[in-house]
Amino acid sequence: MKGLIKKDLLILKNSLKTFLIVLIIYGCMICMGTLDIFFLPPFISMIVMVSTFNYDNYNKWDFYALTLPNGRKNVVRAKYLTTVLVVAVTMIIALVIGLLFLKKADYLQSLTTCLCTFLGISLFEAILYPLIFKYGVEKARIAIFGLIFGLIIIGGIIIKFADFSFLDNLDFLKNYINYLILIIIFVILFISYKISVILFNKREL
Amino acid sequence: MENVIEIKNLEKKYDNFTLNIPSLEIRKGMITGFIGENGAGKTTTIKAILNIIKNYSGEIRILGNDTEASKEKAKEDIGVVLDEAFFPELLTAKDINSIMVDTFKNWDKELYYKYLKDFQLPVDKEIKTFSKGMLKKLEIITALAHHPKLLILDEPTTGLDPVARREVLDLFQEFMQDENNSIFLSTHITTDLEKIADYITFIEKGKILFTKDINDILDNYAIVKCKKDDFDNIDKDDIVCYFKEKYDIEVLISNKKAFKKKYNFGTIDKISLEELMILMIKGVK
Repeated sequence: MKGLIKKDLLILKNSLKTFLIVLIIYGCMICMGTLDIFFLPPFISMIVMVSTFNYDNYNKWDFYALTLPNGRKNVVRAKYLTTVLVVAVTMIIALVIGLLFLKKADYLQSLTTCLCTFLGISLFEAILYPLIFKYGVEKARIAIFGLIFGLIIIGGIIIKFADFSFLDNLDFLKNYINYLILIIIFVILFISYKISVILFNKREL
Repeated sequence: MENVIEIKNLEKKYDNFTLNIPSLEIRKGMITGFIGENGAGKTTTIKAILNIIKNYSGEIRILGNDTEASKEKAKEDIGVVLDEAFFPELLTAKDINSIMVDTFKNWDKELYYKYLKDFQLPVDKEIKTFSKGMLKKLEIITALAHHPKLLILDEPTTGLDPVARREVLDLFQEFMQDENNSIFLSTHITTDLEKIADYITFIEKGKILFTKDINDILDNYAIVKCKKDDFDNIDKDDIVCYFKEKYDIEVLISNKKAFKKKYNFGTIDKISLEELMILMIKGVK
């Protein structure tokens, strides 16, 4: 499995140039005030991971990977472990950005906002990966657009109609909110991993 | 004789295709060529052997292993070249080495780099810059660099020029110097098989027609070209299949000597694997 993770990391290393272009575009948007600086790391984590699936798909890597002593479970596990690794690294980048540019009070609040974005993106990945492992990235690509719209619409409805007053009773959680979000991120990725293993085990390649 | 691959009563159904192999045995220490037209089931059979297809009935044994877990373990001793499936093209030959070191226990870095040098393949260039021939060579040496006991190759010489094909065939023959090694390869380039194969397995429409010694095929099978009247005199049991040309009928026979003794007409031509394949696919049985 170490080889599989290494393969994804080498893809990421070799496609650094593309990510630099994305970084510059985001950088411009931040400078123009269109985007918050904290949106950058979570989005990079997502783009990076989806790109590895695209490269895999183009050369039918899944098929080849299964001819090597990997096994289906490890192919899935490696992808999730790489995701966790990328999420961890981009979070550290977010922390560093925060420390460099923000005052302490703003920093904690912005960190929560940033983690919430990570949560949203992890949720997106947690739904997307099982679809990719079941249908392949080509078909799942349609699902990506569906998912983005779906999540925006559902999020919008919840914000508009839900009663959030119960949150006042959860005030005691305030101090732990960042840890809580982190735990939720890893729990949803873990559940998603278990589902992906089942789906990939049944998939015909 | 020991077998490296054994299939019994394999059945795998798809929407418009069924792979049905009552029995298939691939012998140890031999090169077995796997021939058949596109869509006949060659790649599906290879997938089945490699434990990649799901929901099938029957038994598949590879290098003596028949359980899911042991078949996965056996992949340590198998080298595979697939038709159009390999590492993502953004990677380099050097990257592949670094991945394979952590994939195969027996990965031989020195041997891999020696092959790269022998075949003049660049170490640091992305695979996507490789020509089709260079890529095929890289796939083949990647399959060889962990000292496998069995090579399973799907169209390994497609896209190679004659010189490169010769180099690759020499490499396969070098691999076969160890009598414990075996090769199972599918190809459309039947002349390659005439050079290196010991046995031929023929598949058509999901069914294995035969597995035979290649010398037996080339010595005993033949094409008889005859007129309609002569054709009518041939015993149906002596005909494998036939194909009506404009003026003649081409008849495939499987026992040249007996035919010569029994009948005294028609011209009997030596057969190549390619002619055999075409007649068996297009001919009337």
